[in-house]
Amino acid sequence: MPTKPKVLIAVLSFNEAVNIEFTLKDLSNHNFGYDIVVIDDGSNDKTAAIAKLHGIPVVSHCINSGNYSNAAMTYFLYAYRNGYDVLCQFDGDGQHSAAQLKSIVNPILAGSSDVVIGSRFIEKKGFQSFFLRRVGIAMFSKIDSNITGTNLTDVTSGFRSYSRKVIHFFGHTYKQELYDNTSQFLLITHYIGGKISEVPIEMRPRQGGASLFDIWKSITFPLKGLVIVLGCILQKEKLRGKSSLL
Amino acid sequence: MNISLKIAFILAALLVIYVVVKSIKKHSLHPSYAVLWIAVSLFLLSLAFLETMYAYIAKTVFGLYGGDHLIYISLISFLLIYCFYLTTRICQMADRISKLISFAAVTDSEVAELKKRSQSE
Repeated sequence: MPTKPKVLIAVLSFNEAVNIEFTLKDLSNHNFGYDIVVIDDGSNDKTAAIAKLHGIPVVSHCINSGNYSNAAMTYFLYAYRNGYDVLCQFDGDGQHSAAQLKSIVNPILAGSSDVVIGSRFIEKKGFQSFFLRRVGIAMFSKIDSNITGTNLTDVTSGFRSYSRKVIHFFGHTYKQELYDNTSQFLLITHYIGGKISEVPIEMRPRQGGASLFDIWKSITFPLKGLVIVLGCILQKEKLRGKSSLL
Repeated sequence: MNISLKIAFILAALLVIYVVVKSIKKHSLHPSYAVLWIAVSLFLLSLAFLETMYAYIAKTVFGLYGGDHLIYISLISFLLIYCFYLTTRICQMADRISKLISFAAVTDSEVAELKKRSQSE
């Protein structure tokens, strides 16, 4: 009898004490039998304590790393060490809806994708983010679409899931640094032979607190992103060589 | 070069060597960096004693008017290269710290889980 696949929902949080309760309640109200872990990037508020009160395991960084990619490194490592088949990233700010988890996870379980991105721009419903950010997202979506040969619309979406192959690669094989740009994950996945797809989702505005995306990051993010894309392109042969290790 | 400038170079070289030795003693400077700074002090000493050699190299090899131009260009080039080297080192350190943060966090959660299990048993 085939065993039930293990699915992990990694909730990313940093100083989300005002939102984490809402997020965890949403996840418990839409419990599909998935495991949940909160990745706390060294919060100095009660984020971790609130999550523990809900009986959710918390993996806390001893200091704030200041970037999203460090939290990603942590959840890949956690998922790899605990033998998960599917890993789903879910933001702790209440923007994502747990009711849509199945649509993110199912393509991975069906084996049709290695990375599934929840895109808010397919059906253009719900929170669409501010104009400058939409321009940046559109630019990187176009670049990534051209490279991967897949039509992508929301490459920076934090609502996404990864297959066992991708978990194994980022949690074990890939020894280099991951940067604060989601294009890097997609391009590396593409170069190691992974399949990428998008599904429509609807996002909510933040339930409270302030976004980490400020004006300075709005300026530097596209520039850093272009360098990261270039770095991925330059490394593609090396990455293709590593795909045989999977 | 007048004698006071030569003395200044010699004193600066001796000061660098003194600081390097003190830092090695306190383990605040790795041997590879210590070697580099000793080389810098030797360069400062050479400025005091090998002025004519620098003037000769500047004129015949690089076609520069005087040895001081060669020294300025050399120093600026050295500083730029060294800045770049240190930038790469900082990046490497940041990468290692990121990895350590992740490993420590996951290992910490595993230890906590094991403790919980052993207490319940």
